[in-house]
Amino acid sequence: MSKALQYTTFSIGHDQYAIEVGHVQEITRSFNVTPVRLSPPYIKGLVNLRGQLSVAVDVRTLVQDKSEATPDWMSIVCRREESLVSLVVDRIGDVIEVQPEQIVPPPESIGKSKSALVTEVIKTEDRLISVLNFNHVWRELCQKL
Amino acid sequence: MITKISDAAISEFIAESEEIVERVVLSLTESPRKKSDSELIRNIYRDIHTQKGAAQLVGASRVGERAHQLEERLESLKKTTDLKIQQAHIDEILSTMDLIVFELKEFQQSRNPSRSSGAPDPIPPTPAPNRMTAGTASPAPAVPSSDEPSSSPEQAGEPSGTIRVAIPLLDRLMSLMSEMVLIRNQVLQYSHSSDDINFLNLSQRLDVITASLQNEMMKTRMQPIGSIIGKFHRVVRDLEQSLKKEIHLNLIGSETELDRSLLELIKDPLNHIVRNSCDHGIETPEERAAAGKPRKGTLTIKAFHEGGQFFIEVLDDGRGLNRDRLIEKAIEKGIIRSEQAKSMSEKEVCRLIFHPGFSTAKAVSNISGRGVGMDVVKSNIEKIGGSVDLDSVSGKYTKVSLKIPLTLAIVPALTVRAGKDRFAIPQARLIELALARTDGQGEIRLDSIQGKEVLRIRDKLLSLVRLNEIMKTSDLSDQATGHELALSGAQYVAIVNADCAAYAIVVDEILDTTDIVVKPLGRILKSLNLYSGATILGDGQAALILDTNGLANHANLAESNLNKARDPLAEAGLQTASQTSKDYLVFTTGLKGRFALPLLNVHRLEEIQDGQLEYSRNTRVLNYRGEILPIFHAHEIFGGQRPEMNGDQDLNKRLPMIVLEVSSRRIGLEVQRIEDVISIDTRLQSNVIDHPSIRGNVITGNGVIVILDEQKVIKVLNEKFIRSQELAS
Repeated sequence: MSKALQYTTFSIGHDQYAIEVGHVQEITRSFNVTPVRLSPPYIKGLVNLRGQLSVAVDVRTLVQDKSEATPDWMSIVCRREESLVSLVVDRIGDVIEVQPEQIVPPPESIGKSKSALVTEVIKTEDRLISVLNFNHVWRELCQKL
Repeated sequence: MITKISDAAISEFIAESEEIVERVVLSLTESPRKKSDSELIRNIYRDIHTQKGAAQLVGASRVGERAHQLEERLESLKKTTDLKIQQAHIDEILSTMDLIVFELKEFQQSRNPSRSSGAPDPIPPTPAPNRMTAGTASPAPAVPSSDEPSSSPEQAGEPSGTIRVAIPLLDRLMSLMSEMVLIRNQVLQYSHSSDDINFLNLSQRLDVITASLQNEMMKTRMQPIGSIIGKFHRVVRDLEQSLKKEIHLNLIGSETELDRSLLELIKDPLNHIVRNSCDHGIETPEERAAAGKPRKGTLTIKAFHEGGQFFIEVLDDGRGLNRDRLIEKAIEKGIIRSEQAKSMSEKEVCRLIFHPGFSTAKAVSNISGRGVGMDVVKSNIEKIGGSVDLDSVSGKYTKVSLKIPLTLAIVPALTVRAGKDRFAIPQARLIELALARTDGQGEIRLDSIQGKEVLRIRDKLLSLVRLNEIMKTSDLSDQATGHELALSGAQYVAIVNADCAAYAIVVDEILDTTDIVVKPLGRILKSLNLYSGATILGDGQAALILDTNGLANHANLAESNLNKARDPLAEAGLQTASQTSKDYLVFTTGLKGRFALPLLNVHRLEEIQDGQLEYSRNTRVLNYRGEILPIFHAHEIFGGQRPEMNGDQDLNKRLPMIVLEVSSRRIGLEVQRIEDVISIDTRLQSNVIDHPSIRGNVITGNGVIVILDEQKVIKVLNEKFIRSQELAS
């Protein structure tokens, strides 16, 4: 029991995702984004988060979800190397506790680039949740440009 | 020599000294000791050395002497192999520390004679080796302070007390501060529409207090330059010995303050300049005597504030720069051509030493990070918004001057609008704001040459960037001001300065000139190289700060556009800015023919050995000053087979390599031989282009040269690099 891991869940389109609680600094509502011109499509823009700037990253584009974006999105703010990253998602779910045995590798069938970011899948009784690996996301963000 | 040292510098010195004493005494007396004996001695040695330097800096000569004695003693201990610290050693060090503490108090009192009047003459404590024994619980030597109880009440109330604060805490305070400024702005804006007299009063007071709070807060970021240039006493002394020269170091303006983060950034460039001056500037005593100069050379480092900027000058009375030798070397390295040399001014010749490639060609050791050339000094200083200048008279002196902005945190900037977006342009990059007419009239007007828009301003032509087009900003539905102006036949232009040349940016609207708080972009967006940072505007919205160099690169102004715009310029007999963008580096690759790349994009020329290379998957990489530089062979641009090269198997063979840089992206291009630098005045011929990476051909006296498109080359090779990484994973 003591080994239970905590994840924050969120959704994009019809898909459920989760991210390790440890990466998450806070959750915010949709905000005023300043677009960063000539940046890759998954960079939504810059956000003033109480005097600190955060880079808003569109997770929908990152995981190549084709569904329509929602107007009132939420963001999960993560901190890495003195940088703030706001992961823009559709809805925020609960924080869930997961036993290690619930975690399995993702099936081969999900796309290649998607699977680079989704390294694990959580099985619960009623649903499957893809785990977004923030380390990989970060690496992707830093490398791509 | 020491004329005036501020009280602030003194109290910092006292605080630092007390800290050192405490640390040394504690490290000796704690039991069990945490460090090995030799490590302990090394640490103490370092501390005492700092103490000595600091003491010399503020003129506390007797403290300095004591520290010097101890330093010498420690030096001999340091050299002892298999050192076992004896109790006698500890006692000896501790008693000297007592003396240092005593001299410190003396010095402090001599600075404030009024405060110590009436205090009994303190008697120097006689070194008492057996008073302090190892394992003593109290780390503080109970020496002079207890000798003078009479002065303590006054001393307790001294305002000069300092505490040490963690830098992250200061940074957090700073960012809270800037947020508060924003809220204040919003409150003030709101108060304009209010009739509530109480609210108006309160917001006024909030305004005043926030402003002074901001002012004081900024001071916490400032530190005297002495903390850096004070260390040069040691550097120069060491150099004196190793170079067998006599050098007197003269520091002026040690108390001049500069933003802490900037201090860190100018440390290495400054160090390099000082070493250069000692090494190449100042002559040996014999040479000096023969030239009728005093045997001892003087190196002066002078720091001062002027016009809201920080200046630091390194002046040596050495042999100065030798024009002929500089030119000779520059021609030899292919930086200039001999016919160019004749027309160069003294200043231009001096500036040659800032040219990338000037100090490098032979310096393979650069890769291992031994030292940097003056070009690196220049680029590092320019990176922080400063500039470097050099002035020299052969046989007399060399003066290197650095001009640095006082702080990076807050800079004056112009806010402009393009489409819906707002951007900030740092004032330091701004030359002029103008309203250009579009109807072909007037002194300042938009014009076009060969389908390229240019700005005609007085008798100059500048290339031009339309910010809304290049940034692809979405149109503002109600283009109020921009539209009206366009109808009335005028456009706002900001004329800015980039490394290559000045150019004009057409904007839709000029919004404001204010001090903005610069926020770094962080790793993710930095590599875009279009923005130098971001800021938060008065309404709380984030805005990006334009990097004028990056924008010029993106708009391809550096070469193609400017070149195109220049040809007719030259015909018209007008002065053109710099010649450099027409210069090309010619090389052979083992493939047929000769190739050339713009010299502007050649970061450095290096020689590498196969043995130095490492592999990242299938790509050869080099640890290049802490950065991973992918290395390609020129044939990879065209996707062909690698041509045979002599001595391929020899790991020690030296390969000439071009470090190509486009928009801050670097790759290494291995070539067969670097041939020449040529200046191309004629237009490129583009009828035979059999690969997208080729920009065109030119005919020279020695035949046809294929001019490569540096943007495409980088792009092709970078994609190849990424692909090979992906394939492998």
